[in-house]
Amino acid sequence: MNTNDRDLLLIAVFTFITVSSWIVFEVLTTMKTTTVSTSVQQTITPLSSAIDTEALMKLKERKVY
Amino acid sequence: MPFNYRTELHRYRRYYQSIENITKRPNTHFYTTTIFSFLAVSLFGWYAIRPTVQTILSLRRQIEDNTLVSKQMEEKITKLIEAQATFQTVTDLVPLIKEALPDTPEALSAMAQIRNLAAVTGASVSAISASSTPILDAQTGQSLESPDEAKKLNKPTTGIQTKKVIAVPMTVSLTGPFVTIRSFLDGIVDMRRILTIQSINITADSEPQNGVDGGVPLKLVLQLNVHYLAP
Repeated sequence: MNTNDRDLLLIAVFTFITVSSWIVFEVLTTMKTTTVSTSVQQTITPLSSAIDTEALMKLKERKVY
Repeated sequence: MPFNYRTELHRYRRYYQSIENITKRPNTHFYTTTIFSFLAVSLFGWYAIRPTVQTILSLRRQIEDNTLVSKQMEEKITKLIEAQATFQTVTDLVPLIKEALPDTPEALSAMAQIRNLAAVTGASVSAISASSTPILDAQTGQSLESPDEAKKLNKPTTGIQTKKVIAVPMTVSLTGPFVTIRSFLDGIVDMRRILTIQSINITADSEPQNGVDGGVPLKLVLQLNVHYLAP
């Protein structure tokens, strides 16, 4: 009976460890996974408002024949 | 005959006593408690705690992400307003970009400019040639070479990211004195239409022209690329 009890205890302990590890893994995955869609990520890409006016002025100084 | 537990229970008395003895053993009591505790925690952990924690963390993550998206959207709107204001100040200069790098090859326009430059500098153009270029619609930049291609005009134009700069090779031969050749090359470099010089070959003109002033006549063979922005 003792051997049977120990086996059952081992099964219970390993089940507990497996379930705990699984829960931790899923929780970490949930924390790391972003909820922002790809299209939104593209939309919020930073935009530079600077326009190279110096280049345009240089272009203006060039000649058209 | 069906079993009557009120009258025939004594037949199983021995087994009840046996189970009773087993449950009274301290080891069995300890093991049973421990095993069922682990199993209960595992079961409730999987079916109750995990979904709850996952939902909580998912909602928190959504709140963080949405806050970040909102902040970045506001920044982008501000930048767009700034860009619009800056763009208004240079609106008049924007067509210059099309003159420098048109959407179509406009090889004839480039050749005419080179001819005019030669006329201004006083050089004598003996030949201008360009490689074959596609005929493109000036508005959309699509090919007009075949009816099938023309049907594509209804399609929306591609974005600036997908466009690429195409070079049209061109060869120019002209003669003139050194000063004229130099002025011509300066003019090429200073031209608004983007031209890149691939090779310059200057030789003494074997057939001197009458009335050429300014030194020994030279023959210039210029290989250059005219660029345009293809869809």
